[in-house]
Amino acid sequence: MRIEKYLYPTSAEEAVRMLEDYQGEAMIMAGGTDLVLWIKEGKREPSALVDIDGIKELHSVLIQENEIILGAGVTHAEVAENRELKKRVKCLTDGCRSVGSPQIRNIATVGGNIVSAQPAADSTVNFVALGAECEIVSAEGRRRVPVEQLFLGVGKSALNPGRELMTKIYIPLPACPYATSFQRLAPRNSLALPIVNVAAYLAEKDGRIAEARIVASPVAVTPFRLRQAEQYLTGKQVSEKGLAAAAGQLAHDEANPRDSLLRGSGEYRKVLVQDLVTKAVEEILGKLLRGGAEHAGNNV
Amino acid sequence: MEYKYIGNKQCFVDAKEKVSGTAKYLDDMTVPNMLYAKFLRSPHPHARIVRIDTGEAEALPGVRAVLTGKDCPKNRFGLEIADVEMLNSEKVRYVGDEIAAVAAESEEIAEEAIRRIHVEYELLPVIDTLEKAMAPGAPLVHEDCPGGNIAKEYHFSEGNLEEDFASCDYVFEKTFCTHRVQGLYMEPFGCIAQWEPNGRLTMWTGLQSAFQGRNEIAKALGIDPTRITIKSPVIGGGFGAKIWIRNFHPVVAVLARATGRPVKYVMSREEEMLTTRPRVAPQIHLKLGMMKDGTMVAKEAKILADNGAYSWAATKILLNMSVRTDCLYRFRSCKTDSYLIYTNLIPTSGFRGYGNSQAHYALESMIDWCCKQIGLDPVQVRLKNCVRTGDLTLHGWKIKSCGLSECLEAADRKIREKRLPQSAEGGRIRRGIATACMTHVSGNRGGDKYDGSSAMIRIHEDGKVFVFSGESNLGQGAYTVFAEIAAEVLGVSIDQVVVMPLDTDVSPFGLGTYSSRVTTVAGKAIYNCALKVKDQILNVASEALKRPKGAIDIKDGVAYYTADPRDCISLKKLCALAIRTNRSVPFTEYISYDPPTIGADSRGYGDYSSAYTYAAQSVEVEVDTVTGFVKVLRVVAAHDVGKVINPGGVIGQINGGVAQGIGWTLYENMQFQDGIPQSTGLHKYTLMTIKDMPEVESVIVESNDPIGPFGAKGIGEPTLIPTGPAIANAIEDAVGVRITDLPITPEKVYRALKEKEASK
Repeated sequence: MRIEKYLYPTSAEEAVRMLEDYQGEAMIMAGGTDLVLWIKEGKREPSALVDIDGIKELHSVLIQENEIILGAGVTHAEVAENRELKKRVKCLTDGCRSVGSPQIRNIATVGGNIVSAQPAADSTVNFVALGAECEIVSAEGRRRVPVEQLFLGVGKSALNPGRELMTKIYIPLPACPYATSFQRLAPRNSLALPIVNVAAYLAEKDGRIAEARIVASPVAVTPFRLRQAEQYLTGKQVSEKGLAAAAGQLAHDEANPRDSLLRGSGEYRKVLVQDLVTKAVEEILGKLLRGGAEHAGNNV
Repeated sequence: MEYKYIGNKQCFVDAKEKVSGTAKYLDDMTVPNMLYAKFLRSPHPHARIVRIDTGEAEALPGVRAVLTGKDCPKNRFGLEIADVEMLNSEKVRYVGDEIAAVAAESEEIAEEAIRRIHVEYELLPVIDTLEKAMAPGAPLVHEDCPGGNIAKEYHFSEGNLEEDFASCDYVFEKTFCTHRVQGLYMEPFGCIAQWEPNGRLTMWTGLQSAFQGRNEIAKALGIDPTRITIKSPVIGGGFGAKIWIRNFHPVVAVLARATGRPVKYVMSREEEMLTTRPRVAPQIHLKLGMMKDGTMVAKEAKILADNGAYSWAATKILLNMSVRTDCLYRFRSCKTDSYLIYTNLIPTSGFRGYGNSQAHYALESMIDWCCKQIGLDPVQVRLKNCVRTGDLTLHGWKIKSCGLSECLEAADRKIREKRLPQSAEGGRIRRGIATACMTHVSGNRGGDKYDGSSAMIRIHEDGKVFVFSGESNLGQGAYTVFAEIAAEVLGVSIDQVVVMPLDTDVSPFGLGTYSSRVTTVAGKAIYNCALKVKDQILNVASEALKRPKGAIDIKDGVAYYTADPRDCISLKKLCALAIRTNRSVPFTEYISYDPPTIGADSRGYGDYSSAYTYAAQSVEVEVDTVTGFVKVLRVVAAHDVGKVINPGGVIGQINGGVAQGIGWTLYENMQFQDGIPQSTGLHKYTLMTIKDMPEVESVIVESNDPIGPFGAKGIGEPTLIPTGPAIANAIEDAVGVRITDLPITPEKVYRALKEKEASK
């Protein structure tokens, strides 16, 4: 099939109308780093492409007291090099810096990374750990959905790219001290999908861990919340000894990656999950104890 | 001796074209009225072809020819074992095996036509391991192979092995395995074929061995080799996989004949990854007899090597694997029994090291492991046993120059100088250092065959020097070496020298760029040729200056009387006096040179290389004992190159070889599942990037070989041979585990560490 049209909407609503015109046969074109390959390989056959680069709201980065609002069309490079973001959500800037190559990071968008729904994606694990929500526009209007709920399976997103458009990603910032960590092991130092990556977020209130979100991938078909490790940590004194190792052990036990010829056996990758979770929790607790938390109010 | 070019910094003669993107590679070429070829390849590792239906493809507008096996000459080809057909009509033997070919007006139409060819297969049992191939009653990959699934075997022995083993204080045994990796040259392979009105075939293709390739294409087509011209575009790397032709070379010629039009075929990266020629993958069982004082007495090897589906050069590779490491140390006796086994995996062939690298992985790992058992310093043991200048080795090699002990001492000293603490992060990170060494060749004579090179130098009326050689320039700097040698001998400026592109109708015969032979053998041919041309010039200069010939020399393009350099005449003026005058001195020479070696006989005995090269590499690694991840921190690479011709070229070869060596050892792996390739694209094949590359410190040892031009020996292949075992040895030094099978993945190290912990 040939692509009949390449369209340039200037608003989200116009983009969605264009999609509607093609009744699901058109697709959203953001950075195109996945989509163009899929079209070449014949895995997707859209009859039109809707290029969203001209939609202004998709490119904005807004940092507020209690939340960050990222346009879905912001590139990985833009996130990676943003110092204000690094102060507040270090795991996300680290994750975005790990994606692909400079060329890919310069055009691949964070929204696109979420919609592609690859469990190994280095930016999306961080959005899940940060408890992010996204705004989706469809013919019915705008709605907000937790990022975590968009992942249905490998390459399967709850967002329908033939009908819907992601416009914004909301990252909540708690009023209390918090810190994040992104850990990753890959077959080489750049241009490589991770063997395992881990994103972690811990918030502290009155010396105790008030909130914990720890995510590993690719150990399941979607970014995997390590709930037992999270529950274990929640309510513990930040200064308690042995927390990181215990969380790592729980993560080891609950993660269940499959055997992969290219990434290693499931049994081995459980060990890597354990190590990365231990490292992540250690790093975060260290920061919280030293007063190096990431919230703007504490360390700017 | 002060040289103007030899050993001095000199920019590569083709650097400007390459850096500016104007150099013409095959893909940059078009010929008027050209068609594009594509191939249908087998998706199955082993299957009988029941039926091929090309009707739908032939009906597609823009398709000019669709070929299957029945349309091609039935001449089997292949290097030593003729087991290849252009297109398979009865059976396919690996995923990627060629079945049909299309020529069409565009690549897209050709691709679409390929999709419209329908093949019915009857699947056959897949032989994807050596064990399956060797099992009694195993299905055969080639039904007509007299040895069943054994394509070739060798049995070599020298000395009194059993007696020597019996006299040893220690006899150790261990098995090592290496795997398939590929060269991943930047430029995918391909060709353009065009039949000329006079019935001759012109083929543009970047072969490492243009003349031998020409002969092989002729064999496949059933025509005389002299009816074919091979013209070489600029070549973007080969590493061994472009020495010999592939199926597409003769098939594209048949497509061109069928359509009456020129046809171009350039492989995609995915096709290259399916059908390139990776490293032969052997299991090497070693037995090593030693004395308490570290004397190495006797060595026995049993090798089972995975050939893949077709033989190509793997027989030669197994031969090298079987004998060369016997000549690294002063063993009293040795014995090797080796077998080349057909499987339904991608055919293997030559890749930088040509079998010698695999054998060194085994032996150089073995030595460190044995020394650890006895409690000896492996570097001292190597120094005690290594060959030296003047030695005659067990297989009859005459060692005319050998800097091995200097290499060993330098590498070992330098790795110790700046080493980091052995432990970090509370013992989680462990660091180790170790060394491995190697011997390789600079040329390789088979029996009484030619192992030389020829050269032609023609000086034009204006004094410009044209150098012709039949050896290929792969990007490694061969043409720069040729230009430097010619300029140095003739006493002209290098910018007056042009090394002409390779054309088998014009260039003098060359065996090809392999066996790290080009600088040594072709360089010597150019050296000798330049001397003869210089002699012609000096004769004319002697007449012109009225001075005795012996008192004249040439420098910077001016012939001068050595006792009074003011008494001189320019080369340009001499050309005007000589070339187009009734003197009729052509200032042109054509010579053929063959090095003074005799070639190995049927028992593998004989001095077969112009020179033998030596190296030692020391590495420092760190191992994360929790995850098993290994990081190479530093490499010291000490290489005996005889004499440096171009220092930048030598350092470049060392850096590149070390990178490929680390890649082979730690990163790269062509993986298969039930015979089906899993490393189908660059995203599934971990090639190291610059971010993974450690610092490499090069140490150049100049042993001044008596035969090579200006004393030079080869450097291309030696650079990756010691890297792998040095890394494996350093891992053992760091964490006490020995990984015997490549690649050394983090998971293997992790498991070995767990096992070690459990056995405590």
